[in-house]
Order: sequence, then C-alpha cells, then structure tokens
Amino acid sequence: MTATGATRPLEPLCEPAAVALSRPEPSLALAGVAHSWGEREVLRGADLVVEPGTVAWLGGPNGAGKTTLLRIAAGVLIPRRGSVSLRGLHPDRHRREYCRRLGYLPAGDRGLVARLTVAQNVELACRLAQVRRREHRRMVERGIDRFDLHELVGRRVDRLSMGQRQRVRLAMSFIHEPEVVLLDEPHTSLDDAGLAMVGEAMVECTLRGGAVLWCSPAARDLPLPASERHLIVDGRVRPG
Amino acid sequence: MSHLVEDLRSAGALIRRDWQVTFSYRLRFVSHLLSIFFTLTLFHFISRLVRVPSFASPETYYAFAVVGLITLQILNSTLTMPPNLLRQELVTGNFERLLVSPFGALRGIAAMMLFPFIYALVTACLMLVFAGALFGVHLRWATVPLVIPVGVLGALSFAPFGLLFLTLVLVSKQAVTGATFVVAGISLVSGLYFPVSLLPAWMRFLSGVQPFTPAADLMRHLMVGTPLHASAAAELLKMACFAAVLLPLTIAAASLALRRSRRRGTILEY
Repeated sequence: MTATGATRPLEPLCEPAAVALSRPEPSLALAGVAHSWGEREVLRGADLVVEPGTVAWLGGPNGAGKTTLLRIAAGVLIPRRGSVSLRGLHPDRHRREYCRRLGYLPAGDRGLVARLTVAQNVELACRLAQVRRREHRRMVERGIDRFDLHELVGRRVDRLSMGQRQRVRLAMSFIHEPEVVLLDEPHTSLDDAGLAMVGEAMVECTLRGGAVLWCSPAARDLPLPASERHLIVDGRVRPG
Repeated sequence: MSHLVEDLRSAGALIRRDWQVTFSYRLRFVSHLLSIFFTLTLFHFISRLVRVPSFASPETYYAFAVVGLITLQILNSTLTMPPNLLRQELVTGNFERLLVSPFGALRGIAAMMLFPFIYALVTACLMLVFAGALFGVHLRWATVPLVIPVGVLGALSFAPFGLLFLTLVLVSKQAVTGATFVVAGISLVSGLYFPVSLLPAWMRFLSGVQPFTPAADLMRHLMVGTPLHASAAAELLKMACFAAVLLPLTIAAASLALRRSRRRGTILEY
C-alpha cells in the first residue's frame, strides 16, 4: 500500500476487536445491495463490512458504481435490493440517529451555499447536524482549525479556489465528529497540505472508534490513508 | 421534546441562511420596495376610475385592492417562492446535505417555506405603511392585530398547495411555471382585485371551494372594515378545515415522492 496523506500506510488505527466488544455492530454493513440506473444494473449484490477503527478505500473505474454505493450507504438512495446498516441502525427506520452518526462528502464541489461565507457555511452544517448547543462553538472552531480555514472564514464561498472549497466541504462533513464518514473522492483539488489535513481527520475518526469509507477511481498511489482496500468489479465488491 | 427543540434550531438556521442569501444581493430588497411602491401607486390611480355600487368611494376600492395585493404577497410566498428555493437546493447540491442531516429532507422542505412567509409578512407591513402614509388608506387599528393569527391560519391553509408544488419539484424537477399559472388563477377567482360578486356563477363556485377567498375576506374585514361575505366563524372554519384535511395529505404525498425518487435515484437530478 502506498497511502500518503498522512502519507504512510495505516497502522491499525485502534483495536477493532476492542471496540467490537463494547459495540458488536460493524460501523457500516451493506449486504446484497443492488441498484440500477434505468436498464443498466450498476450494483449486483454488493457486500461490504467496515469495522470500527478502519479506513476503507473503495476503488473501481469510472461508472463502476462507487458513488452509487456511497449514496446508498449514506441513505440518499434506496437500493432496489439488499440492506444497509450503520452501527445496526436502519437508514429509514432510524433515520435521525443514522444521520446523526454519519458524515458524508458528496462528489464534486456541490453542497455549499455560494453566497455565504465560510464561517456561515460551517455554522449551518453544524446546526443541521443538530450538534448539542453547548458543543456547538467548540465543534465549529474545531472544524475551522482542523482544515486550516482561519484566513478564509470571512470570505464568501463563491470567491474561493476549488481546493479551498473542498476544505470547507470536508470541514462540514467532519463537523459533528461522526462515527462513520463516507467521502466521495475527498482528495479532489487538494494540495499536499490539504491531503494531510484529511488524512489526519480520518485517523482521528478511527481513534474515536469510528470508521471511514472513501472512494476514488485510481488504484495506485492512493493519496489518502487506507487500512483496507476494496474494488467494485461487475457490480460486486471484491478485496482490492 | 428535545427533538422539537433541535428541529426548531435547524429550521431557524435555514431561515437565517435564506435571509443571508436574500440580503447578500443588495439591490434585491430595494427593487422589491420600488415595485411595491409602483404597484400601490398604479392601483391608487386605477381606483380613481372606480365608480361602482359595490364601493362607496374610490378610497374604499383602493383599500380593498391593497389588502388583495397583500394577500397576493402571502400567496406568492407560499406557492411560488418555495418551489424556486427547492429547485435551487437541488441544483447546488444543498438538498443532498439536508437529506443526510438529522433534520431530514421533509422537515427541511417545510422549513424552506418559512423565510418566504416571513418576508411576505414584512412586505405586507411595508405595503400598509406606504398605502397609509402616501395614499391615505385608513386602517381599523382595533382589529389589525387579529390579522396575525388569521394570517398564520391562512398560511397553514395555503401551505398544502405550496407543499404540493414542492412535491412536484421533487418529481418533475420543475413546477414554477405551474405555480405562477395557479397563482394567477387564484387571484382571479378569490377576488383579490375585485369582489367575487362580479364573477359569473361558475367562477363564483370556484371562489367558494378554496381557502384563499375567506382569507382575503377576513384580512380585509380586519384591516379596513370591508363587510364579510359569510360569518367570521364560518370563514375561519373553512380555512381550518382546509389546513386540517389537506396538510396531512400533502405531507404524506411529499414523503411518498421523496421515497420514490430516492428509490429511482432521481432525487439528486435537476
């Protein structure tokens, strides 16, 4: 593995077995997930388990179904078949709790309010994540610190570079210290410093007993840490 | 209870966001004020032409029309603005963020209706101030405060129609043209600019089977003393019934549409 970011291969980030003793459920489990776009079946019974303390990477060529799988895991899409659970929670039956424990970075540069400043966007993300009132200030400051947004806080998002926007989006995804973080091509537009920040945030999540699943098309020279690798081949998840 | 508090805070954050976005376009509010001023002026001069038995004087018609225009603002804030907002959310990808937040997409959609409504109320107050200060509209101050609860009930009875358009945006990705068309129709049959008694019989029927006519009637009565077409209790009951019956139905429809588009994968399309 040639993970960088914090640019070294990941050591076991925390003891998965120890976490499992107290919380027997995996961080994320997808079983037999199938989904089609029109006639085209993208996922054909994909199985994936991400244990606590893991940073899992999901790869595959363009159009393989990585984004679809992440969206299903996030509860954005409902699969045609199969099941999804996050710490044993169902994405619809336990919707509020499911989302509370989830951090999600959608693909591209979407999900920002262009006319608002960086600080206003981060604040909004924190309010929508329904962080406890007494934790709010700390988490916003932590998010700004973690992705080094201090110089940008007063700037409007539509006046930022793509890499700076990506840091804001990442800060919003990690803002509430979620247990499971799903990142769709998180390295996009980031420089080395930005990559290091995401890597640290990923490791920090696993040290809290959480897990990260991120995806990118490239299989070699992963720009971010990964303690597990998976590939989507013919609509199924295989070891990478 | 704690969920309710959390949801109220999240809704407050969305109202704040919409307020910040609206006022980040500095000329928008000023141009809106100017358009209100010109509309009020236009109707002032039109009212000078009115000599019909329905109105004792041109001033009476002007007061009648001003309240109609205010109702139209509220109607627009419930029916046409929220679908626009939702569509923007879909285009910018912010709806995806709402969808994966504990606040949730459905509550998010409902919260999107709040800022336009508040904005319409502020605009309504400014219209009254303009109409009173510049064109001498006399308000019945003793009953004006009652406009607030009636306005809220009115908004609740209009909300199902707004939710229906929001649902259409989720399903068909565009509904604004339809909403504008419907608002034009409603403004015609609910007598926003003229009394419904002038309408042909079949159109008068339409004016009786929706909540906009009683809302406009009550608002007029409370603000400028125009006589009611039916008893106040009957008008209030009609609005309450529309809200009580249609709100749960349209919430269920929106929820179904959301689920269907999540299953089909069209939820993020625009």
